[in-house]
Amino acid sequence: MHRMAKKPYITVESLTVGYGKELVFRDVSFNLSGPGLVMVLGPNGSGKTTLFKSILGLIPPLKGRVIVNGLEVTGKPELAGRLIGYVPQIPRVNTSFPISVREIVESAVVLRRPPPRLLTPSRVREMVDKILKQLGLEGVADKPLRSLSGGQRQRAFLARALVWNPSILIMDEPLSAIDPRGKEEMVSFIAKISEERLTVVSSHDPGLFLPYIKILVLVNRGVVAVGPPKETLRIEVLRRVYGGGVTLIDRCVHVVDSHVH
Amino acid sequence: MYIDPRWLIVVIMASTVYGVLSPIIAARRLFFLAGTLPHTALLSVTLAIIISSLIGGFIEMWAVAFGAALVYMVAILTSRGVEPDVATAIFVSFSVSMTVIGMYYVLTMFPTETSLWAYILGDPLLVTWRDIHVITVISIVVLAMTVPFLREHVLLGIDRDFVRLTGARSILYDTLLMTALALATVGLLRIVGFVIEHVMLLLPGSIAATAAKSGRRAMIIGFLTALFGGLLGLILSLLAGLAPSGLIGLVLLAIYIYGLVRGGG
Repeated sequence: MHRMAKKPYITVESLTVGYGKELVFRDVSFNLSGPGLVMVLGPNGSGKTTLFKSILGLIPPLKGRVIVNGLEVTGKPELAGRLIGYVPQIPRVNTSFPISVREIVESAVVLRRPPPRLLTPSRVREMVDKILKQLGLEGVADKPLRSLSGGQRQRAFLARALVWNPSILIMDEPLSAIDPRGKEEMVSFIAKISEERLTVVSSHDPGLFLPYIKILVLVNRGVVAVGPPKETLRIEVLRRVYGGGVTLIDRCVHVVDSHVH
Repeated sequence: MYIDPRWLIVVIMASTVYGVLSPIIAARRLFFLAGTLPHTALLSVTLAIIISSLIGGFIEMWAVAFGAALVYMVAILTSRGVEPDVATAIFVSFSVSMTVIGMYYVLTMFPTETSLWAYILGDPLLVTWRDIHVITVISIVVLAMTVPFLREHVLLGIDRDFVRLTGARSILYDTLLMTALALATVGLLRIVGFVIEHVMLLLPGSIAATAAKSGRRAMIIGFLTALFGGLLGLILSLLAGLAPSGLIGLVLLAIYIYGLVRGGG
């Protein structure tokens, strides 16, 4: 089960991650502690998802280690999954096969149990109904995921991640499949969640999150800077992340995002 | 109209096995693998005939061993990032070419001992009681590898990372599924034939994925569609005096088209 730590934290020590001969990160180290909202910012292909998957133990590093709430979870997804709730990028989830919102959340309740996964149906239903109500999904509980809006899908996966009340939440591009109005609602909701949890998100819309961000992690094939927005959102730092796509116009920073090859 | 109980048993068993496997194939987007499996099965059986003639042993045993090895090979290729289209092209070309070479060898070296046409056309009306025993054992093993883990098999297709984070052993479920697919295709090839395998692996799952509103219902719809298509195809074939495998395929195709026209779930 997840443990609700009072002071949740993630420590990344000398992490080197790569696919085959291609290194995505080399010797990355930082420490994140909560509660609060942490944003991981970087261009497409900069390694945000790889960083998240390394923290979650889904990608074993070539070197280094990851410690979560005092436990080493390096390359151990089964352990990281007990401490961290994870919301994947929605476009990366297969929604072509019909699966209902209830089944998505139920899966988190049931699969946590070792085989033969004995749980009374009423207990499962109670847990699922409770979290669906909290996220305003009770009206669509039995609808297939593919029939829902981007915001509803996002909330369904958020419900799955929150059902065991984790002290740390990682959300990969939570605004990527949501309409503009839905984005504001989702940002408010994430901000509320982050009051109690260490909540790490990546996004291409940092502006919406800006009032709530405690720490920014700027990445581009490595961690370029870690710190509060006032210290990290500087033009020289952003140029190291986004290259020539950054210009200063009337005290506003404009970033033309580009894909990193 | 006379109906031999063996015909019913073989169609019900095959429909049950493929009716369970097909929605899993749809959930895990293994259509390309499912498309290559009957080719793999044909090659495995051809190789098994040659090997069992040369060094002995049961054809079924050798065929399952070859089939499992070939299925694992395709699964490893795709899990390592080889594009499904590329893997299919390479694998189907290789297996079909090798099958023709192997079949030619078998037909010239052992012409009276083996009816390779039975493997291609398949005819549930020619089953023997020995075949019934074989299909019963294979069905029980395949269902034991899949039915208790339906949730895990489906969820691995929806979001593999999540399943790994729960501590569920994804490699174990992958191995169980690949072995079940090898058994269901190679082990049943002579009894149900190449055509029924192709159709029943692909269509019930596609129909269920279009029509259902939840994973649970998709599994039920897939199973019932395969069973209905199998039995109706068998009855129509007896009434019309045509090949049952062809009619089973046409019935399932008609259901699929009907689902598409109606717009599905």
